[in-house]
Amino acid sequence: MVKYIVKRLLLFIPTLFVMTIVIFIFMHAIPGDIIDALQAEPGNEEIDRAALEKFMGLDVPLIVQYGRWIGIIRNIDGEYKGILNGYLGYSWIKKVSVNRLFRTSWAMTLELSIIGFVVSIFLAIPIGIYSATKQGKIGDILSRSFAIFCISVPSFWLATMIIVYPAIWWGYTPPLMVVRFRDAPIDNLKMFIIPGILLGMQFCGMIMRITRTKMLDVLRQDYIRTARSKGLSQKIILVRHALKNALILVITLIGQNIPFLIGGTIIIEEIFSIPGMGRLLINAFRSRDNELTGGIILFYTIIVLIVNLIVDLSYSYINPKIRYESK
Amino acid sequence: MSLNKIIKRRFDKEMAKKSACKIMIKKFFKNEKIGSFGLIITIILLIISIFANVIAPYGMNEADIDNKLQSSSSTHLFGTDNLGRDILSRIIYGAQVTVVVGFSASLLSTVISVILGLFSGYFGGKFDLIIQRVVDLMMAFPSIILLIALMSILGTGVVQLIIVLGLRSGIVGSRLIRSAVIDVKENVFVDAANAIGCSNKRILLRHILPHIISTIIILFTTRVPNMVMVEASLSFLGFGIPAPFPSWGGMLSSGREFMIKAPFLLIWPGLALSIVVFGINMLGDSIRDLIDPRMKGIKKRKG
Amino acid sequence: MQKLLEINDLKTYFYTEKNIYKAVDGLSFHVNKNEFLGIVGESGCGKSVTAMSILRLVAPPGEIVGGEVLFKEEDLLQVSEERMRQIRGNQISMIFQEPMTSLNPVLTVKRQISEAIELHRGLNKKESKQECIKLLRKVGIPDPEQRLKYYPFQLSGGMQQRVMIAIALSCTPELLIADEPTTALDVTIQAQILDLLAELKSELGTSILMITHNFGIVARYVDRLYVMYAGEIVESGLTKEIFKNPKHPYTVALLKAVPRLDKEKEMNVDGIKGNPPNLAQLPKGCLFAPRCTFANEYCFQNKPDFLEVGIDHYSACFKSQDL
Repeated sequence: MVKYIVKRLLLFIPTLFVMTIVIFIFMHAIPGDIIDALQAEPGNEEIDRAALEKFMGLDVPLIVQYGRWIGIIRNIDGEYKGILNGYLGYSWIKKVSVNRLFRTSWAMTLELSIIGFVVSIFLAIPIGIYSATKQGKIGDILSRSFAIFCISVPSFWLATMIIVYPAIWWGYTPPLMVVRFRDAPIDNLKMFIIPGILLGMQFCGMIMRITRTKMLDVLRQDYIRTARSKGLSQKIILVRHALKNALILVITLIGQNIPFLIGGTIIIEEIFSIPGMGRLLINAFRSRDNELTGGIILFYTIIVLIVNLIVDLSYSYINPKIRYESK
Repeated sequence: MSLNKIIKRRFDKEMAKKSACKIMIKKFFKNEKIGSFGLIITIILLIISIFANVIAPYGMNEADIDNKLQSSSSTHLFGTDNLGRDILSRIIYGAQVTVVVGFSASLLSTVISVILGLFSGYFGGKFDLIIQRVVDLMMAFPSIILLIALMSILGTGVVQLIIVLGLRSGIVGSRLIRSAVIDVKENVFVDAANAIGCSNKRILLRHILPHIISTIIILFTTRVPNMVMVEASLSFLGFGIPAPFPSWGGMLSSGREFMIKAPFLLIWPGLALSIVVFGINMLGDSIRDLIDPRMKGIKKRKG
Repeated sequence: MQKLLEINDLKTYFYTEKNIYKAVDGLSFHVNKNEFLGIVGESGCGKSVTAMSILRLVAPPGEIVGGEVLFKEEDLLQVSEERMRQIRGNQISMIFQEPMTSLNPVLTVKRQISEAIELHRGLNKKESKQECIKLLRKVGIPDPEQRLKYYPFQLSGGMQQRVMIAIALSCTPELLIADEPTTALDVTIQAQILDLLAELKSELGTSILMITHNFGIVARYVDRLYVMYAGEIVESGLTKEIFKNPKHPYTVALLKAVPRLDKEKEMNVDGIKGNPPNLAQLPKGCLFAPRCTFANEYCFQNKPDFLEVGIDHYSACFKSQDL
């Protein structure tokens, strides 16, 4: 297993490196001249374009700009101020460092994602297993319909309806006040629970179907027949023999679908006005704030790579074939 | 064997295939009730989108400011929006948009997946390695962010949207085709074809392609509802279908502003989306059920 | 000889959308105490289905539709599922053909052996661990304490099968059903495993019901033999007797198909012409008639009864006298 972990960790670094190049290209491919935008701001009309370019570090070749962004080349002040130093950039539109803008946002997005994930998994896996054991019967049909409902109904529609109708019928608005977890944990959870459920809805449906399929596959296997021939009860067979095998199959698929969950935070944050990375991103795109955009996309990239790493490591832990490489 | 017998055999085979198709269709309606329901929804959707110009009572942007934000009435079955436009008509034109974008993007995606998957799976080597790494990265990255980024670069527009959706989905989907190709490649008959000197192109077209048809169909049927949803999400965020074309996702987004005063602005587009995605999903599921087990008969290499 | 297991008129059918496959259609045989019994036949003749039916492990779309399975006076087809669970792994146990897939890849050897022990014998963790070590030693696995922690993929095919045997014998069953236990193993290992089974049989007094298509194994280890064809028994008797005096054309053909070391090198090994019948459309008359070299018109129209043709020797053939 150690060999596997080391291999995986080593893969992490070059992947991240390649992604930074891709992101950098993106940042500079988005049309819209930042200088024009700045010059359009009140009070800036007279500023010399060339001077502005120099000030913003746009006069040097792209490679140098990339190096500066990463933090391996000194910037105009002669300092190393890049990603490797923990400095994610500066938003020229908002006039504030990207790190500053991230300060509370990233925690919001993270919390939303975690709640969505946990709620989905806690629903999806048990229902998926139940569905597999009752194949063809009414329980299975209901579960499958529920899963399809989850993936077919647009969560942003449901979310909007949930905000609108209780407001109309009962004058109720979901807590839209931003509360930090540290300050008031219960209120904070109250704020996140409905968005979290809606975020996880589609993900839940997908995982439910996957779990069901894999569980059915497992139940067809020879070793289940052996277990039955020993006289074990159905419950023990399910929990001790089938479950772990099914989970091994399901975990990698869960990992593959997590980016989908993370992407969903953008829409949910927009609807529920949660000041997370998603809203930051949309605004950055709309205002052509390239440095901010780059920083945010980098953030998402790192999250995804970390999640993949966690999934891979979990998989290598539960799967004995990898954990105990041939002795 | 006499020539007559050969011809008769061929003929019988053709007839058997035709009746097998008929039987399959009949079986479909009998067994797959939900799938049939999905099929009906899809057909209705297609009809509405093709004949939108004829069916819609008003133009898609026909504004009637005096009558804005009215709920259902005899003149406006679904009501009007904040600019006085008839919602029913916009839903109908939205169907057109959904079908055009959804199906075109899926088609483009499937074509890209097949081409990439065929080359990647059959030829392997460095090309395969590079493509697969790219696929890995693309799969790991939240698609919506990538799509928004691409739309920001290319600008809004229906064509750009179709290309962007199709491209991303196509590259990622190539993996499925690739595994199917590799599965088929491992069969002895491919080696046999090679041994008698078939060119690669011939092998690809006549030997491999027919065996991956079921996978291709399955890929396409999963793509369509996915494309519809993603387009709706993008339009909802403002990075999808541009004005003047109405899109259900966009209607939901603009409806939010007036949601308290006129909640019906939100009901119809959302309902339409849900029903359509549900129906296409059901149809896809049923088609998959029918095709998959039948085609899983390819034996592994034995020799 | 006391009867341990008696099967009467067993019928197990498989139901698909279009057809009913009569895998086992009116099968009757018995197993005595402390005997090594064999059931031989081609693939698809219903041997495995019979074995699964005894323990009521037939999975849908298969269903046991009739007959009796009398295990020491109890009809296993009538008892409750709970009672069956008491019997499985305890009084009757089973080993399967593919040890690699028959063992759970994510559970240790110890877990898989101790399960049955803890369930049926009520031992605690420490006691069952000791039992497992003893069992592994008995089935000839070296260094048992270490092997307990192994996962199946870390063992060779022969070892895996030994583990399966250990599992099956852990509660000293009275009957062990072995469904083609050595088919998936190397020839050299096959002999070891079979020797082991024979040894354990005499040590523990367990009866073994072995299902196989390999006449070589039958000749060497099996005391009494049933020959099966298309879901029915066509001949039965002591192995020595049947080999010397086969009384059914199918048996004759099977024996002819086995290459013999004591015959001349150039002798052709005869196969049996034709294919086994479609279990959904069984022909009228004798099921083997279409492939039989001795069959006449009468054979195609009438079904032969299972009659005595020698001491404890039965055959279902109109022509048994001519063979």
